[in-house]
Amino acid sequence: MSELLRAEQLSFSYGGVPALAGVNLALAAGKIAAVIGPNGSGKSTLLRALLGYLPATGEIQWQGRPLSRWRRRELTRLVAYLPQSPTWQPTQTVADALAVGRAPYWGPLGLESSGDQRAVLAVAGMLELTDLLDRRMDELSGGQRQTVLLGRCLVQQPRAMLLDEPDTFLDLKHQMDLRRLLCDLARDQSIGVLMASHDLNLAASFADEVIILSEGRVAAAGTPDEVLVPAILDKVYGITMDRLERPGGRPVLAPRV
Amino acid sequence: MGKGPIFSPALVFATLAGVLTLGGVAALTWWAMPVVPNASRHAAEQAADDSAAANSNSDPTVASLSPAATDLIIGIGAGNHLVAVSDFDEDRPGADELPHIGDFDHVDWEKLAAVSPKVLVTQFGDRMPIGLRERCSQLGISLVDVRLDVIADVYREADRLGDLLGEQDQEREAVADLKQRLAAVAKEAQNFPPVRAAVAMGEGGSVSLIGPRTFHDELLTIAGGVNVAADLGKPYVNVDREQLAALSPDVVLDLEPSPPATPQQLRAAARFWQSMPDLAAVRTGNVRTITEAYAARPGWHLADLAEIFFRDLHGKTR
Amino acid sequence: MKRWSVGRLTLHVAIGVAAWSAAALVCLCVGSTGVHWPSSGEMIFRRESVIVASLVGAALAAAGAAYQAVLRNPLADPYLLGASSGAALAAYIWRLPALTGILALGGAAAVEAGQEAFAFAGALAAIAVVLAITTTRSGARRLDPVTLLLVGVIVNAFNGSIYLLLNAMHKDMPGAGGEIGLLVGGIGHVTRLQLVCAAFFIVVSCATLLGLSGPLTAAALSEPEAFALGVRIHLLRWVALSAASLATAAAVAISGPIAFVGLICPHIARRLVGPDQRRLFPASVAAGAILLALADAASRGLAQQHLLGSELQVGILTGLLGGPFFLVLLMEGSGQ
Repeated sequence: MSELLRAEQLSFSYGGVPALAGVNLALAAGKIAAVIGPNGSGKSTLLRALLGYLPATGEIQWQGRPLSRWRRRELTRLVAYLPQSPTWQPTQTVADALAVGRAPYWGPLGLESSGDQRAVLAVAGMLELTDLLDRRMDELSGGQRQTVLLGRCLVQQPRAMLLDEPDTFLDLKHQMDLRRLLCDLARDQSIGVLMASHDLNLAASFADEVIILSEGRVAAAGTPDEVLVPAILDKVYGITMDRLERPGGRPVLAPRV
Repeated sequence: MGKGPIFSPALVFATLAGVLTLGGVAALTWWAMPVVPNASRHAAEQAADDSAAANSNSDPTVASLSPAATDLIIGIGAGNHLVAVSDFDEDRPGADELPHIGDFDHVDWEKLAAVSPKVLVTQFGDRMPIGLRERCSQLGISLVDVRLDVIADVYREADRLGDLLGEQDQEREAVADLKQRLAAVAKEAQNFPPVRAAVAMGEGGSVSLIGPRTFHDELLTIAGGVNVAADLGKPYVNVDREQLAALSPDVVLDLEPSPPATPQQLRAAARFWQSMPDLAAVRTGNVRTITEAYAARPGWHLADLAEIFFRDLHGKTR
Repeated sequence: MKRWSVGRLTLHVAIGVAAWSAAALVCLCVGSTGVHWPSSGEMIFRRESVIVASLVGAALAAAGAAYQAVLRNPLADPYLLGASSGAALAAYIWRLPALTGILALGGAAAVEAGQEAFAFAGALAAIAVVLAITTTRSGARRLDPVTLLLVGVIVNAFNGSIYLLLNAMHKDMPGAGGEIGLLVGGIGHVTRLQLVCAAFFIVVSCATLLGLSGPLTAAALSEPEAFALGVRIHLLRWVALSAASLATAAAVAISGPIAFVGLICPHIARRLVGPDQRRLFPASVAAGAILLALADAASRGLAQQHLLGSELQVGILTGLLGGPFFLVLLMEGSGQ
């Protein structure tokens, strides 16, 4: 399995306030890694630094090449990014919202090729959005909208996806759909997914690797089974956790009441 | 969270402070505000002012807030009564080195009180600033508002000011002289065919034409012109080039008095007229620019302006 | 769904041109001496009016669309960064006697260039000041939208105060044209040279902005998202704002500050073709040309009746449009 992303000793401060300190991580193609941690632990900052949007110190390598040696255009065809509150416009149609994701491939004057059109239709098909293509974004439910915005990342045809809490506004059904989609993408298209999440259990249920961030540092990293133990979690979250084993499945974590 | 008393000390204090502040502001405002005059008393007050001024001492000093009125005062021979002029008054014989005491919006009361004139001459008409009358009566100044739209106004106000300032004899003589000069122009103009003319002011894409019921219109007629703007019905009308072409004046009297018109403005105005090469006045080279300071304001220079119009209309000096 | 191909772009542009042509024909028929096909004499004046109005309207609408996209603010208009106050101030200064000597130094060219060239320079100078102050505040040559707006407000206010100060010091008799005319825009007479120069700047600017319509579409997203899509957001802001400001300065130099066209036309275009900047920009430019040509025709037509005592300057007409426009926007917004 080829290594998609490697970061070593990643550090970043907002003004004088440190947000990341000495973070190491690696992501392989076709793998799903979840980054969890309390508010302010640096999850969003980490994703933006890996993207190259924030000037962090340390070494970031995409596909074995340092970030600084990547040209913008090349990198956009490699990595897609979805922030916590993605931008969308109420009067935009779903088709238009998806099409914006093809911006890295547009020609001058924003002209699109037939490849662009095909990519959008393919993603719409995969996400079952084909019937909604002409609907306005403000006519969709929250879950549908989030699906469209995820689709905007997919039309970029990336090899890696950096997702900042994509599950936050989703109900249970949509969370399951998201889970299934990401697993399919990783398995069938060898896309590497680095996903920040609030939800320990969702992360536990399908991530190949879990990275726990606490105050900008990596508190622990490994398989969900290894890492999601009360000994570690209690210290990171500051509350007592119970781990409940599920027969034939991944463990479930719950705060002790 | 505990529950405090409903009327907490902080709340009471804040309310008291608010009430006191409001009360203080209201009192200050009451004290400072002039009383708003009743418009219907205007004419009666005008007469009262006049008689009051006439009854005062025989050598009344006068301040003028209107350049046209200043001209009038100087012209009727009462220039030595002038103690202050408006901000718009340029320096000229009879009115140089006098203090400037205000314009159409505000009056410098301190300066005015310092020169303490007996009479203040204004040209506000309906646009008298609120409180001016009250202030004047407080300071013991007689307010005289003149109207100077047509030639008859000039004679009437000259008589009035002559009486007020005790210069009746000089004034009557000056007015007679003025009337005689105008009559002379009119007589001479009869030797020439009437000329279709426009009196214009302004710059840019549109100009203002001066129409009927103005002294410009009357002077134009005296000088032997026919005002192309006569049918437009209003004293001042903005027209664009299309309308100018339709009106087709043979002579254009372009007034550029703004104190004083800069060379670049005059050039811009000339370029505007040149952009209408088919206009009769432009074709025959009959666009005359008049830059005298009094060109746009009525006043004592009626005869001077009539003579200028005559010269520009008929191409001959008298 | 249709892809944005050369064919579709051409179609949009062609529709815009066709709509404008129809409007221009109507505008040629309207004049201050009557509603009829113009005689050859009238044609000269009306043609110039229609061309200038269309050019200025197109420029303002193009600039407005770019400003709204770059600043991510639907209420942004082209005068936010000081163009109109700078132009008005410069135009006023040009009239002062003190300038006569300075202009003479510049020779015949400076004199012939006239008030419009001065206004153009004044507009550009004001914008340059705003950009300079903003980069000093934001650091690292960045143009932060919020800072830009605030600095623009300050510079506009400052220019306005200088204008009033000069006016108070140099007592002008209130009358036709004069200092009030400089504060309200109108379509007046421009020389051929001035028109060609203005057209040049406006065309260059519009071409630049059209070329940037791809990145500008992506720039509607938040900064990190746009970054992830390959948009060089800071460079884009500089180039787009400079181009838009050039068009605004040229427009305001020849016509004075005409209100609301730059603000309204992008919204009209958005209604017609959606928020995608690649479609919105050509539509906004067409809407601007058509709107201002029609407004100018209306103002010339109203002059026939000498309503309101004078020819209604087109800046007043467009200003009157603004109120109802925003009322409609507000009502529709709350309806959702």
